[in-house]
Amino acid sequence: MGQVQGDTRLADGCLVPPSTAIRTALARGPSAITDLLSQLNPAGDAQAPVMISVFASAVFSLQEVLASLQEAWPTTTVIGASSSGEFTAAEETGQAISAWAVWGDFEVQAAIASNLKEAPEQAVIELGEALSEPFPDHPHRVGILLLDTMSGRGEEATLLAATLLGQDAPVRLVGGAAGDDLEMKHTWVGVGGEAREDAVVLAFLHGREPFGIGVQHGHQAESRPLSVTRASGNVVHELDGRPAWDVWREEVTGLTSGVDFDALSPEELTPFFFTHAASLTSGAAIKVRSPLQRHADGSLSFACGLPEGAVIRLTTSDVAQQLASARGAAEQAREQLGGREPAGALVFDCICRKLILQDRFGDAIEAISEALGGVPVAGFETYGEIALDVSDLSGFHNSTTVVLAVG
Amino acid sequence: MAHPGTLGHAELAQFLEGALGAERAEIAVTAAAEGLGYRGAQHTTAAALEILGVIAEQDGLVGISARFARSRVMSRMATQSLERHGVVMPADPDREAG
Repeated sequence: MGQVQGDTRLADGCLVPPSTAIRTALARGPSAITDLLSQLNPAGDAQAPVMISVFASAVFSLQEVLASLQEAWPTTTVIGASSSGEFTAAEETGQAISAWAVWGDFEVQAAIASNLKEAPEQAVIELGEALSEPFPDHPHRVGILLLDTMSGRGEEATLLAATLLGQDAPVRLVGGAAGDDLEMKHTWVGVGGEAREDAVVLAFLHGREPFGIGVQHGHQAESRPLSVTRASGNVVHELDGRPAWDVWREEVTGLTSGVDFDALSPEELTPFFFTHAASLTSGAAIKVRSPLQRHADGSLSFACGLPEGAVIRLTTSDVAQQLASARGAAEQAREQLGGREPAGALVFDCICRKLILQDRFGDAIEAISEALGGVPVAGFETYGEIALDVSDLSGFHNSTTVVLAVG
Repeated sequence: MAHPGTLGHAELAQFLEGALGAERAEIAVTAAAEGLGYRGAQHTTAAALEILGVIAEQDGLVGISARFARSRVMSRMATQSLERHGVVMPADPDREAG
């Protein structure tokens, strides 16, 4: 069911946002795209939103979803990603499409670039060339970055974007790594009517008022330290001089009980990768790094690079920590709105949190909406989350909630 | 306490920790500093940029992280320089607390 806040109707009935308005939608089934459009524009007379972010389960063609929304609103910037769970403040589900539409005084640009796995820097340069227009009347900007998880370039793409696109003015980034309903095979991102694999999408939302970004996770390191002794890009071949899978299995067996990890199918194994992700120590905090796949040679691939010499510790978490971190991320985002009331929030939430929270995942989304005053919230369950503020020193996260609040 | 215009060795490693982890960041900074002949606990900003420049030549995430760290160090240097010359920097427009 669609949810909206902040809009009004003129005497002629036309929907006009006085300031910022956010509408969210969630639909599933054969008529999902039609239902989604109906929820975003129930009376059929809404003016075009400035931007729609849409997230589609792998049971849908992201390209078809994007093209349908773009056809309905040709002047709107439409971006999207394939997903592993979709939600609004009202409902969380799978095999669905979620959408977050924003109206108001914003300028928006978006672009897509390919070949992310082999040439991440060139991909980001292409984005920069396409998104260079300044908007001096809209001094605040946030970049929404969506990328193909299977490229294994999550952190690299995020740092390159901050380095190459932030030379004139520091760039703030949020976003997520696309999902595929935990199949770990093909993930897609898109803009306009086009979706691609091995690609990255960046949309800049320029506003007159500050945006709020919140980021928190609910994991803690539990295992002994493990050294990455052989790695190549996002593939860790050895930990402590032994096949990475053997070491991960032994350590996680110590954190769980009664699971024969060798007997699990790839689909059955993925939830354990997410709930017992690796972590890097960064100051007093940890950065979570989730394995994505086990390979036949005993190596593990991750959503971003893990260099040789890095030291990881495997993590655990519980329901209370996950609920508290979701609310905390929303509160953090709200504090940055310069005193303005939130109109809504776009949320990137790790699929691992769904695996930990199970039926209570919806409570976490509800907590985010409540912390923002009950506003519309939508997003998707990701394979990696992006949040990099002007003073941050890295920006790719796993097992984390990222909240972009718009006032 | 660090002098203005200098960076502690550990502080320099912190610029890389988020992406590489504390241990790998320390290894990268120490190796690069020793290779350049810098052995002290404090580095001038010029030396710090030189150290990060050496790390930035590495492939993959390590090199990318160092390039990103260089941009952060340069941004901080610019801010400190302006402040030393009495220019009051406005609050970060995108971090206004509510």
